[in-house]
Amino acid sequence: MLWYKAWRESRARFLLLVLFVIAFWLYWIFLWRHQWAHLSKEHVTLATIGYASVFPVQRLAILYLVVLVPLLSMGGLLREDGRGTAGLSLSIPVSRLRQLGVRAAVGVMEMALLATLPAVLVPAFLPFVHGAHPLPVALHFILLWIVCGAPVLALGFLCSTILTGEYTPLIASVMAALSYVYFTTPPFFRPYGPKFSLFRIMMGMNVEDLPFDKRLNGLPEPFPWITLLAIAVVALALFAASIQATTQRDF
Amino acid sequence: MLWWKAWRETRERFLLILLFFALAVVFFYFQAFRSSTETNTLYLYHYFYDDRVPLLLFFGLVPPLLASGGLLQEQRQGTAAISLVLPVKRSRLLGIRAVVSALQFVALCLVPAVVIPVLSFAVGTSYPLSLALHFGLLWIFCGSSLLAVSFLFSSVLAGEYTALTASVSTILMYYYVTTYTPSLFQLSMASIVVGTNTSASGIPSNGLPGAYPWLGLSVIALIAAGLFCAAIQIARWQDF
Repeated sequence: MLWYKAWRESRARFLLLVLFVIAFWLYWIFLWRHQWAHLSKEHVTLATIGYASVFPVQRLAILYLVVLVPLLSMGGLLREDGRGTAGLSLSIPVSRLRQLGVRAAVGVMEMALLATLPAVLVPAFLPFVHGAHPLPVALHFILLWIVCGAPVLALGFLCSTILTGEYTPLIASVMAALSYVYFTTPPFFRPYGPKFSLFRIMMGMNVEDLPFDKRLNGLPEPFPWITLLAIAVVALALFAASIQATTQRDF
Repeated sequence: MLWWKAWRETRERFLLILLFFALAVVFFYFQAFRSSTETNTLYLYHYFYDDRVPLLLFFGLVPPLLASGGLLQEQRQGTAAISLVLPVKRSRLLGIRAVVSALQFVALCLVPAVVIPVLSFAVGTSYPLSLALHFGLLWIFCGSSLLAVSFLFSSVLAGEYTALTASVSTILMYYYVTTYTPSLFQLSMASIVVGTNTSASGIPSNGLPGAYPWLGLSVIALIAAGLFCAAIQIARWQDF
């Protein structure tokens, strides 16, 4: 029941975001195909690995980190307290930990599905415009996008458990995500930039600091397992902090 | 009282956005100042008025955030009846909320117009106030239509974040489709916002914008007014 409750609370905005991502990708695949033809003349492999090499994916990656994931993370008992329904939720005979854990899990699943959509749409629809895209490469990026989105989701989750106001947590999490994305791109964080930049890790540019069209024929770099593990630990810590904050709060 | 109510409902998010935006403008100003190899006007243009990604995030997020709220959302909170029992028409109730949102958006659009000339004076250079206000006015006109779209969504979609999500998605799709589809480029406001719509080359050679596209701005203002009226009319017909 808690799963269904969390799903119902986030269903509308999740489905809207899914529609947006699908519309975004179908637009770029079908209406932007003259750019694909141009790219394929210069970089054959680059065009076929077009998932992470071209302009639209970079734009979607920024939107994913700064807009889409924070929107998914909103909600929670503080919002319900403002509407007067927190008492109903808290009267359910389950611990607050379980309640929040379920909400976090639903948020992660929704985020994972959003991260999966481009990797499904690109290989599926690119053949319609006489292109091709290797599925293993697409799958590579799913994991990167899920792991890199997790701390942003956790940060939004934390903001929604400590900041009151209807839109204050969303604004705070968007600002934090935007600031982080900006400050971890060169020249601020050079020479550490690639390893700490969620955006660059999502684009598969985590090791070398080369422009994407000059590297490895457009292929992503190997998984940075230590970095991904560190990101996951940070996300878990933020989730834990928000659960602790909610457990201690008096509604 | 209605003005105070509308202000109290949006005060937190407006002040938070204002603070963040002002700090960002100050920060980017000193970034531009530090790395400049061009004239003052041109490099400030490239940093503040020509960078599409920050502009997209500004116009894609700020109007929906300011326009969110309204009677449908109050109904979910159980306070719509309190608002509706006030002895004023719904059109006045919503009209005041729309005006407050618009004034807040105008204030945010004028932040660079105030901060950049002041900082330029402080560091011993100059940036014409008239130029900064020129871009501020372009932002206000173009953003008003996006604010109106968001206001309309908040009058149609209940759910705390549903209207916000729909507004953000619509604005982003509108930007990408009209900017990158040649046949639809006439419908895009992107070139108006960056001041290049009347420039023959599409790129200002000296950081100065083209002349005001009065016809385009008039059309945008009419569309915004129409959308605001539609939102108010829909709210009048709704049964709370």
